[in-house]
Amino acid sequence: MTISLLAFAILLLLVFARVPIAFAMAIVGGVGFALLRGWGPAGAMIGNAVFETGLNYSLSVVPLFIFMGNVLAGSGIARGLFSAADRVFGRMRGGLAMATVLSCGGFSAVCGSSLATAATMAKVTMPSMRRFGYSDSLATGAIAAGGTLGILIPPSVVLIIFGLLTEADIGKLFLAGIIPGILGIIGYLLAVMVAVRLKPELAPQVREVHPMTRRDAVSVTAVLALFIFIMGGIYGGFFTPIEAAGMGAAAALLIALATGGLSRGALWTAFLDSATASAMIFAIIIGAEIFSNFVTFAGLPDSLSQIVENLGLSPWAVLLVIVMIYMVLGCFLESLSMILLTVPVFYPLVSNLDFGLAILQSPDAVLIWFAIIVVVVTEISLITPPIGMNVFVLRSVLPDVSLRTIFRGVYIFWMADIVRLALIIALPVLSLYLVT
Amino acid sequence: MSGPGPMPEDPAPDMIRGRTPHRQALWYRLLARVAALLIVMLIGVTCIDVIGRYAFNRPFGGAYELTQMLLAALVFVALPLTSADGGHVEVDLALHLMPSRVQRLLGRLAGIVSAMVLGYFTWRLVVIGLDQLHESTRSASLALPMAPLAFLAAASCAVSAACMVLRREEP
Repeated sequence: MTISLLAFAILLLLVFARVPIAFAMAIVGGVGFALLRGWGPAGAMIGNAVFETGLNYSLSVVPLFIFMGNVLAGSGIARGLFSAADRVFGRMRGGLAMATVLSCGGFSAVCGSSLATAATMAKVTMPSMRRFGYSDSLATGAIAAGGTLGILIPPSVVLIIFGLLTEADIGKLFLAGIIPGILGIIGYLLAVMVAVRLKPELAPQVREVHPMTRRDAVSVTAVLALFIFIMGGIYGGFFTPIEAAGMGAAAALLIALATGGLSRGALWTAFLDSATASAMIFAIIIGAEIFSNFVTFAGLPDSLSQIVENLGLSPWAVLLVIVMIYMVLGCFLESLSMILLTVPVFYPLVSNLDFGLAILQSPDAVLIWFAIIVVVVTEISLITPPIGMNVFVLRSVLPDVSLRTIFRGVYIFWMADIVRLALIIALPVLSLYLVT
Repeated sequence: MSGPGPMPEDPAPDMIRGRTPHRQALWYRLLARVAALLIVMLIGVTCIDVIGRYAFNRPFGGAYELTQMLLAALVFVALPLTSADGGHVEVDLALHLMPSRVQRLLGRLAGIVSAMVLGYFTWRLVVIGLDQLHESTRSASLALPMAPLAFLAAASCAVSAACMVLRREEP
C-alpha cells in the first residue's frame, strides 16, 4: 500500500514536470517492478507490454473509430448537425449554445472520442457564437462540456477499453451508455437555459442563424444512418463491436465520398491525425499496462479490498468513496490513463458488493452500471481544473481564449454533470434499462 | 478562424505554431504515407472478412491475425510522427507559474526522461526480435515471421527517442 502510494506520488511529480504521462507511468512502473522483482523479470514484462499491446486485436478499434470520426469531421457533417440543431433552438435565448450541445451529442454518436468531438465542434460552432456576440466563456463552456459526450454515447473508445479490462460485453456497454448520454444532453441544455436566465448578457437574443440547407439535412441523415448501421450491425449479429470500427470507417468514407464534402487535403489530415492520435493512445496504454502490473504486484488491489472489508462500510458507502477517489484523481490524471490505472484496482472490489437491488442481482449488471458511473465521472474530469483535457484541446484550437475563461464557462455544465452522476448512481435502471 | 463555408484546408487542431516545419521532412511524409496505407489495409481486412462471411459465406481466415500485425505496424510507424509532433499527452499547467528558463530546463529534462524510456523499450524489443529470429517464431495461422515486426517496433522506439531528445521548446 505504502509503496503504491509512493509510486503514485512520484508519478504525479513527473507528470507535473512535463514528462509525457505515458512515459511517466512506464518509468515509475518499470523501476518499481524492477525494485520488487529484479531487472530481469521487469525487462521481460516491459518488452511484452510494449510488443503485445501493439498486437492486441481488440485495440484495432482505436485507430479505426478515430479515423471514422475524423473523416466525418473533415466532410462538413458537423456543420450540418449544427445547422439542424440551430433550427430547433435558434429562437431561444442562448439558442446557439444549446445547438452546440445538441450537435456535440449528435457528433458523439459517430465519434468515439471526447477530444475529437470538442476539437471538431469548436471549429464549426465557435465562429458563429462569436459573430453573434456570445460571451467566450459560455461558448467555450458549451463546447467543452458537449464534447465530453463523445466517450459516453456509443461508439466509444473508452467503453471498449473498459470492456477489455473487465471482460464485460462491449455491445451491452454501448447500449447502457445511450440513456445516460441523452440525460447528459438534457442536463447541458438546462445548464445553458439557467446560465442565460441568470446572466442574459452572456448570449444576445438572435434568430435562427444558419438556415438549414438540403445539404445539412443530408448530413443529419447520414449521421443517423451510420449510427443505426453500427448499432444495428452489432445487435443484429452481423459484426462484432470490434469489427464495427472497420465497417463504420468504411461506411464513413463512402458517405463522405458520396456527399462530396471531403477534400483531398481533409482526407489526408484525417489519415495523419488518426495515425498520430492512435500512437499517442497506444503509448498511454503501454505505460498504464506497465504501471498497473507494478501496483498489482505490489498488492494494491488486495490491500484496498482488505481495508474496505475492515472498515465494514456499506456497499453504497464504498461506491461513494470510489467515486470520490475518481473525482480527485480526475483533477490530476488524463482520462484514459485514469481508467486504465484504476479500473483493474476497483472493479474486483465493486463486483463483489451486494447492493441489495433486484436490478443489480447479477455481477454483470453491477459491472455495466459501474462502467457507466466510471465513464460519467471521467467525463466530469475532462472539464475539471486543473487538468481538464477537453479544456486543453479547446485552448489549442482557440489560442486566443484563456484557460480561465473556459473554466469559468464550464462550471455550470459541471454542476449539471454532478446532478446527472447522482441520478445515475441512485437509479441503476437508467444504465440498465436498455440492456435487460 | 474563418467564417462560414467549408474549411477543407484548416490545420489540424494540434498544429501549434512552431511545431509544423518537421512535417515537411522526407522521413515524416514517408512514414505518414505508410501509416495511411496501413489504415486503409486495416479497414479493407475487416470489410473483406465481414462481407465475405455474409455475402459469399466464405470468411477470410487470417483476418484476426492480419489485423493484429497491421495494427502493430501502424502503431509503431506512427509513434515517431507523434513524438516529432510533440503529440504525447503532457501537462504544462503548473509550469506556467515558473520563469521561462526553468520551464525550458524542465522541458528538456522531461524529453531526456522520455528518451530513456523509449531507449529501454528499444533494447527490450531488440531482445524480443532476436529471440524470435533464433526460434524463427511465426504467427499461428498465417505463419508470418514475427521478428521483423519486433525490429520495426525497436526502430520506431529508437527514432522516437531521438525525437524526444531533440524536441524544441517553444518560447
